[in-house]
Amino acid sequence: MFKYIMKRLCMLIPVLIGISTIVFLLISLIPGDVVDILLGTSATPEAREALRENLGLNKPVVIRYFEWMFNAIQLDFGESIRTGKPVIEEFFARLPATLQLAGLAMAISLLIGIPFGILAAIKKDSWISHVVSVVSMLGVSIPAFWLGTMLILFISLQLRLLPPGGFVPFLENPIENLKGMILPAFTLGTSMSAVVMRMTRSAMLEVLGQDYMKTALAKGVTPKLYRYKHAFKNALIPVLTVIGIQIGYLLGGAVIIEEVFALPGVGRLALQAIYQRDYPLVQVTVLMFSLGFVLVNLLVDIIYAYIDPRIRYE
Amino acid sequence: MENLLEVIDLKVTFPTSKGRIRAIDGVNFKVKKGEILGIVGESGSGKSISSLSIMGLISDQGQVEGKILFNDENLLNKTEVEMRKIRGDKISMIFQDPMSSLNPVFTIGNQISEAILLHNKGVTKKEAVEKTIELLKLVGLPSPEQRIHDYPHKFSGGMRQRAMIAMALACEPELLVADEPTTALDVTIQAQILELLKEIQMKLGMSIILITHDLGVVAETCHRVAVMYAGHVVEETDVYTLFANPKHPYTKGLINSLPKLGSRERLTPIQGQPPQLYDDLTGCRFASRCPFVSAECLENEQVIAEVTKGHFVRCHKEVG
Ligand SMILES: Nc1ncnc2c1ncn2[C@@H]1O[C@H](COP(=O)(O)OP(=O)(O)OP(=O)(O)O)[C@@H](O)[C@H]1O
Ligand SMILES: [Mg+2]
Repeated sequence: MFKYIMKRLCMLIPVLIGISTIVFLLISLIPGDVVDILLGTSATPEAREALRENLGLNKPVVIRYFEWMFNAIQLDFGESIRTGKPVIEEFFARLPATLQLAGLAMAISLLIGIPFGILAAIKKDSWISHVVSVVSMLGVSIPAFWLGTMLILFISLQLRLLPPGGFVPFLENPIENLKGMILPAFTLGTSMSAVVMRMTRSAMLEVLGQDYMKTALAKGVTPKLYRYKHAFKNALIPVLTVIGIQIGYLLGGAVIIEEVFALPGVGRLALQAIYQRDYPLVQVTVLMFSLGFVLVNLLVDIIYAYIDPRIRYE
Repeated sequence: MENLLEVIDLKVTFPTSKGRIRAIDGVNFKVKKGEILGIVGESGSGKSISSLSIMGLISDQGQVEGKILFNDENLLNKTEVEMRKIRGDKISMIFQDPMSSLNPVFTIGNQISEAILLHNKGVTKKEAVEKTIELLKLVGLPSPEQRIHDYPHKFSGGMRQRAMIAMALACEPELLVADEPTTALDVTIQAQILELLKEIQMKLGMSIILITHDLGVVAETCHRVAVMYAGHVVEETDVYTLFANPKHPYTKGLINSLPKLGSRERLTPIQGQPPQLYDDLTGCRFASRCPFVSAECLENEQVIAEVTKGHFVRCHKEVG
């Protein structure tokens, strides 16, 4: 197992190099220039040239790329063109909001998705099952930005129950922090919970029809053991796969949700960096997103092996 | 010998979109203490439904009528909670396919000791593990001390069926229902498992219902036999009488379709298909395939009757 994890971690290196190369090329392909953004279009050509030289933008892309690489290997990712602060610092300053958003959304989606999925499978032909199907259909098809906007309109602006956006660090004021997080986390969590719910339902239905479930009944197990020990542990395997895939969605969704609710998270940071052509900042956010995605999926694979004894990594 | 189990006029029906299916329709048989009863019959004749009725495991849509007397108590009057205490304790069951009958995410040891812990209050985990090892020794699994920590996928089919038998024996049941326990195994393993069932039956003195569609298995293993056809028991007798003096045309047909050693006679299969079991059946259910059919057979439903002591036949020609 340890060897397998090391192997996976080593495989990260080419992945990250590949991603950084692609991102570097893509950025240099986008029209528009940081110089225009910093100086405005009315600046004199001399001033523009001076700034370009200052920022090192007058060198060819390939040279710039290798320079960046050389520094990145030493964990120096450069400074933000706009603020002049190290991009790593900028990134980590914005990370808590995103982590909290993603963590809460994940928790909401599991807390809704799994119990209702199980219920819908056990009460297969009852109204609960139908309600669950309809709700999960809606949950999958409603776009997050629309749901978020509606929630802001009704709950924040009409009813004035929760703030429409903004972020207070948890350690500063936990209550205000949670109040501000409820709507964004709920928005991001619902569509994910719909997916988890559907997967849990179909996985449970499949498991309940298996021969070993009949064996469990013939043994005289209680309904609780039947559902949660014998059935759910098996159903969890496909559900886990879906959760792993959903985490990618969660990162993408965070960009939109942070924008809708004006949360100072890394998703929004990335977006701003792109708008402003803040190349080093774009590089580091994308790189970190990829790193996060790969690490989480590695974690999912490890949990996999823990739940399903038939899976062994070597 | 006393009757341990007596099934009286058992009927199970399922509503379907095409009408009610009478899966079994007035089934009678008895199992004495310490006896191995074989139930034979072709696919769809109602063998599994009969055994699931005894376990109280017919799905919710199924309607069950009649009586199932186990130690003189009607199991059909018991609540689900009472049945749960009987299942796996006094009556246990093993299934056809050992490859899919064990839960893949729990160890063999866990699955067997669960049965012990469920039905024996006050037994510690450690005692349950010791008992599990003992059971696995009894069913002939090599090095059980190590194997209890293994997951089912590390076991071969034969070993899994041994583990299933150990699980079924966990609480020393009075009745073991084995639904085609060897069908999914290859021939040499089949023989070993049947031998094992016979051996533990002798050692522990319980009763066994052995469901099979193989008359050869019946001949080797069982004391008495019930032959099922299209939801009825058509003949019930001891195993010697069955082979020496079969009465029902269907049983005769089954025996004639068995190859005999050293004989060059052609095998005679039974022609035709069993009827669909919808409500509108009239007359004898075997009539359409019976070589001795007469007008009377098509009109009247046959009743089961005792032709000689302990030999029951559902055919008016053999009774009258
Ligand atoms: N849930 C159900 N709904 C409708 N009909 C059913 C249901 N379960 C069983 N039946 C019908 O009941 C009849 C008896 O089935 P059963 O499973 O007892 O047959 P069997 O003798 O065990 O056959 P096999 O040798 O194939 O196992 C079959 O005709 C089957 O179609
Ligand atoms: Mg069957």
